[in-house]
Amino acid sequence: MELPGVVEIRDAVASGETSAVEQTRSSLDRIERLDGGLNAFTQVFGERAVARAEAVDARLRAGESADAIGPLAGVPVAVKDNLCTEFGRTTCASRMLEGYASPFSATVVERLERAGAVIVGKTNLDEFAMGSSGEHSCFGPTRNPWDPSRVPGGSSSGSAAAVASGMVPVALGSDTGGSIRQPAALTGTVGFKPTYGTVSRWGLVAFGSSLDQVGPIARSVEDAALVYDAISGRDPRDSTCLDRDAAGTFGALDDPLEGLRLAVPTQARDESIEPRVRLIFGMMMRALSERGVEFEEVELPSPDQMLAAYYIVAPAEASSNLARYDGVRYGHRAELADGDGLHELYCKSRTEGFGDEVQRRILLGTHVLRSGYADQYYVRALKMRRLIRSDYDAIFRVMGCDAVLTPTAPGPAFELGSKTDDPMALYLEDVFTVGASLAGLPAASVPAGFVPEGDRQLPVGVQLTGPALGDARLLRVAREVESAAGFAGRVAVTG
Amino acid sequence: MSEQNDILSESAVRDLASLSRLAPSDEQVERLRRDLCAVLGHAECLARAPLEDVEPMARPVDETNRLDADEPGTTLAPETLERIAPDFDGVFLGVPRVLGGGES
Repeated sequence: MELPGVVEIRDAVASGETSAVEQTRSSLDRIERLDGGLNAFTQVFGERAVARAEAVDARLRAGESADAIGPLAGVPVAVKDNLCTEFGRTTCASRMLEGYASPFSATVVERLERAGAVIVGKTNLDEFAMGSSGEHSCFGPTRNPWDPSRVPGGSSSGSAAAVASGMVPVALGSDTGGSIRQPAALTGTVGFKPTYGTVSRWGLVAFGSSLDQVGPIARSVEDAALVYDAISGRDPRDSTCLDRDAAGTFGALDDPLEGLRLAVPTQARDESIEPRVRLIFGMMMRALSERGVEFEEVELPSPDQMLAAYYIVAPAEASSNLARYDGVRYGHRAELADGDGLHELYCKSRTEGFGDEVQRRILLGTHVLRSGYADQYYVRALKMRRLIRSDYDAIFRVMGCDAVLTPTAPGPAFELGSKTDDPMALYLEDVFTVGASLAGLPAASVPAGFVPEGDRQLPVGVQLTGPALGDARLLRVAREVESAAGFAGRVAVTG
Repeated sequence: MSEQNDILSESAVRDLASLSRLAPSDEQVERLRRDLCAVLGHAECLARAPLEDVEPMARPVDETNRLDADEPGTTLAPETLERIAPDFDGVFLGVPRVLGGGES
């Protein structure tokens, strides 16, 4: 089935065909009906959302134009629960942040509301955005709307499930090594990780500060572009945010696209990729070829090397960023025994507050940064990071390719619990997404097809990675791929 | 993928845990040791890459951090503090003791 997307809702609210309240209530009703089975939301702000929607409608009734209110006037949205909001709680799906209320809202949250969007709730995630399955959450796992016995991917698990099931037309996620793109692929949605620095990280709870970016998950490239434009642009509160205007990608989606050249790394058709994914990928290439797209076979550092670099750099940054959760300043504090001192307070609070995956990454990060080991692991990983970026730059600048095309994930959605005992098996989910993260490049996942699994159909996505700051062109290319595949806009759960 | 199950000993994991301000149980230590060895073993593939003359890249953008003007700015409003603080009497914030009991 299909439900209206962001652009359709915005246009219908602007024309008076529907109201912001009607759209918000429709979203809240759907959450009420479906979320019990999916667990996509950590919080729903029913009353607040209706009040915000009423305010949008009142402005329209008073004669203000929808354009003046903002490009997302009356559109229900959800945000990942690692984005601070001055309303409700900010949990990061961690016991560590139990009861924590943020004194401020993230820049992206403020910008959504300033653009007229109505935030209906916050979405579930892998704890502190660490995971690729949505299973590492203190609120329990999120389920895939296409098959609830399977994972929706992660870490933006709730955002992807909420959009795929039609509970909201768009949601914000965050992406450190693939956390927007991989769940988008596993849920048949469009996920966009912008160029590092084009979206403010102020108010995004830090995981890997040189990697984290906020971006949209939507049911079409058009919707993702509109929301990306609304949240992007300089922010004096984030010193890593580039001094650039808000992006104008939505308006460039109809720009001419002639002589499109896509690079395909040899590993994109590697035998380790599930055959059904390879089949869809091959069909995607043929469909694009029929539209005149040219392909160039290229070499990038091996997926193993990219993954190794990522699983050193990201935990190193995480171990540093998560040092602030000490049981004193935030959330959970352990009960102490007689004679316990400050060290015991820290250790007990952190051990009780953090889940297994977070603890694993903190330990890994501590090890690779440790005196005597940093050169062997961390510095080597940073050198590999440079090599990855140089290779991408050569593909775009020297070879003149528009984007790199790969599968987004090596397989479709897997069964809940099937990889929880083997962290390396789960990390391999990120094999195609970590390259763009390490290099800071924009990358989008677009639905490319469905594969049968029993009596279900599971979505498969392809990923496009573009040159730094080439977000507009990349989304234009993504729209072409979306059109060639013809699977955008589908909603998984009927009713 | 390399199988290097002896990269870290259990005592090395305990030492790491202490440095990380974590206190895993004995059972967790063995599992963590196995998991960390698997990831670090996999990372050995970087040793085979031609990285001798490559500059490390810590950040994906070249621009340096922007500095704020050294001027007073907006801070938290009292009503915001009142909303989020465990205890606030209009002037002072009450917080739980760090050591020696949970009362303010």
